[in-house]
Amino acid sequence: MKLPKTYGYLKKDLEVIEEALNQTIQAEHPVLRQASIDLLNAGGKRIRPVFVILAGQLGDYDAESISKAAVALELIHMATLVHDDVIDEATLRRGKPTIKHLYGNRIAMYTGDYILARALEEVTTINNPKAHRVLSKALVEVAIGEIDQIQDKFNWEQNLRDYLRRIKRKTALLIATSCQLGALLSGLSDKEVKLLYRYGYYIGMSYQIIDDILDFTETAKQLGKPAGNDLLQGNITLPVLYAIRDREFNEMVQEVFKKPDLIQSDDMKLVINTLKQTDAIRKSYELSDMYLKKALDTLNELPNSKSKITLQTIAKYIGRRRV
Amino acid sequence: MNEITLYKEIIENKTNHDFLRKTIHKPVIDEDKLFILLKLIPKDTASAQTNRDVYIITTMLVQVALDTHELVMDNDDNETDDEKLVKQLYVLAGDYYSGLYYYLLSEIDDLTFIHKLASAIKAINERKMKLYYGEYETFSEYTSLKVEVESLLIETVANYFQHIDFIDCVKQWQYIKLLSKEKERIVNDEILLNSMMDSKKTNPYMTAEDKFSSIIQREWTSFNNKLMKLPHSTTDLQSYFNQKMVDHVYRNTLNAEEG
Repeated sequence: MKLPKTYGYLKKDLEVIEEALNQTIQAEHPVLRQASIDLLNAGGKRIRPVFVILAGQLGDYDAESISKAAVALELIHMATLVHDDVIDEATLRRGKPTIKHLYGNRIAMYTGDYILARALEEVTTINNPKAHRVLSKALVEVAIGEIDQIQDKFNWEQNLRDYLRRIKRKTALLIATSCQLGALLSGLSDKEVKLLYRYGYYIGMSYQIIDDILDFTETAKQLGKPAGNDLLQGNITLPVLYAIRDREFNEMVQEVFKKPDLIQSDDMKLVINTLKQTDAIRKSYELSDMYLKKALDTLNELPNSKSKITLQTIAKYIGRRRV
Repeated sequence: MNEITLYKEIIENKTNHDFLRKTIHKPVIDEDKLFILLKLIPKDTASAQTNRDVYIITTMLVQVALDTHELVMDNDDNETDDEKLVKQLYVLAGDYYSGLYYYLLSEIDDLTFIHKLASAIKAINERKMKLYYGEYETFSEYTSLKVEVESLLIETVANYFQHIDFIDCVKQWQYIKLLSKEKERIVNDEILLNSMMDSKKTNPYMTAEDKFSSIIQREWTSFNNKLMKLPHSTTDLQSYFNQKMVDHVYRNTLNAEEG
């Protein structure tokens, strides 16, 4: 089953959000407009809007504010991606040319700043101070997480805690915030808001761990980027952290990464194959499963509803997802 | 410690991050804009002193974020690893400062001010696109875009605090600074934007430098007159810009002529 099928019944809500996203990025300048539209059309699972809607449906659903929050979160995510592509010098995203590749770094910077500004313009029409404190704090944390990621590049001394803190900021926080905002805007109790935040956090952690696993287990065609690309960029992810406990892998990877600029695709194949020989993938899945279990346990404390069942299904799907 | 130094220190502390500080330089804070903000938001205007601080700091954070992102250049094939790292951190530092502006204003629940600054950022980026693609035909169109990029943020704050009489002054000061920079570039043979100047308005027998000097002098006189007419005009406002004119505009001119 594909992830979108699990929330197929949200089609109408998501269409409203898609239309709002499209309206929001209609810049005056043709290149700015086109760059933003290209980014929007590049797809994506719209997982953040889905979480805002589902959490919102657990309380008194206010379609207008839920839609605005969902749009803002997706735009914030999009703005981050445009700037990430400048950082990673990425030419492709989801198999399509990046804005940085098509128009250059400067235009990518302007597009990201423009999209973020549009997100803030939209979201500040929601009159809920607490929601803004939550969202703005998440935005700052996400930026710090990105800086940490740069700082930790090729740092073979980092530990599991460093990795978990980084992926919390990089991925889990925005998903947790999506759930939290949906809950806040539909008037759920403090306890329920907290539970949904935790659900989003656990799901986000698991989602990123699986992303990091797939970077080694899937093909370039499936990923839309070279396999092992994260490691090639210097990002030490969970499978690598587990694998370097294996002496053979550790020695080999240290040797290959003495000169990262000179690494060939055959070198990466060797690294990936050797990593797969270790227990790193299995152990990474185990940690991901532990987060998913925690996510499901958290949901048990919420009253039964269709949305809750969907949140459970999403959690189960994430554990099995391939790309 | 004067107010400018004090606020510069506060902003530097707010934006402090160990790794950023180690790898890239401190954010450059535009003193002119900071000074104008201090005058624009007098102590008795904002509801409380703490809020005045937040308005000034957050506006400057937005400015610093935009300025930091301007340091990200298009790709250079010969970029070293260190240059690449600096570029990556300029991207992230700008994003971090933007996040801080939203965060600090959400702490005082001023959603309207967040919204207004976001609208200004949007408008500034629209104009930056035009400048990037050289979408101007006359010198006047070029300067107008440049001045808007530099003054839209302060204009937004002036509107918010209902000090619209400041807006003309801010724009004119940015125009004077721009002209002085362009004059310097002409003297250094870097770019000959004067070829785009409307020949009807200037004497065809004047050199490019003289044309610029003449316009700068005219704008400076007009700027001073406007400054004196401001209802909240104070002697420190005038003496600040007088000093800046001497330090910045005349010194640039002098350096360029000597060079």
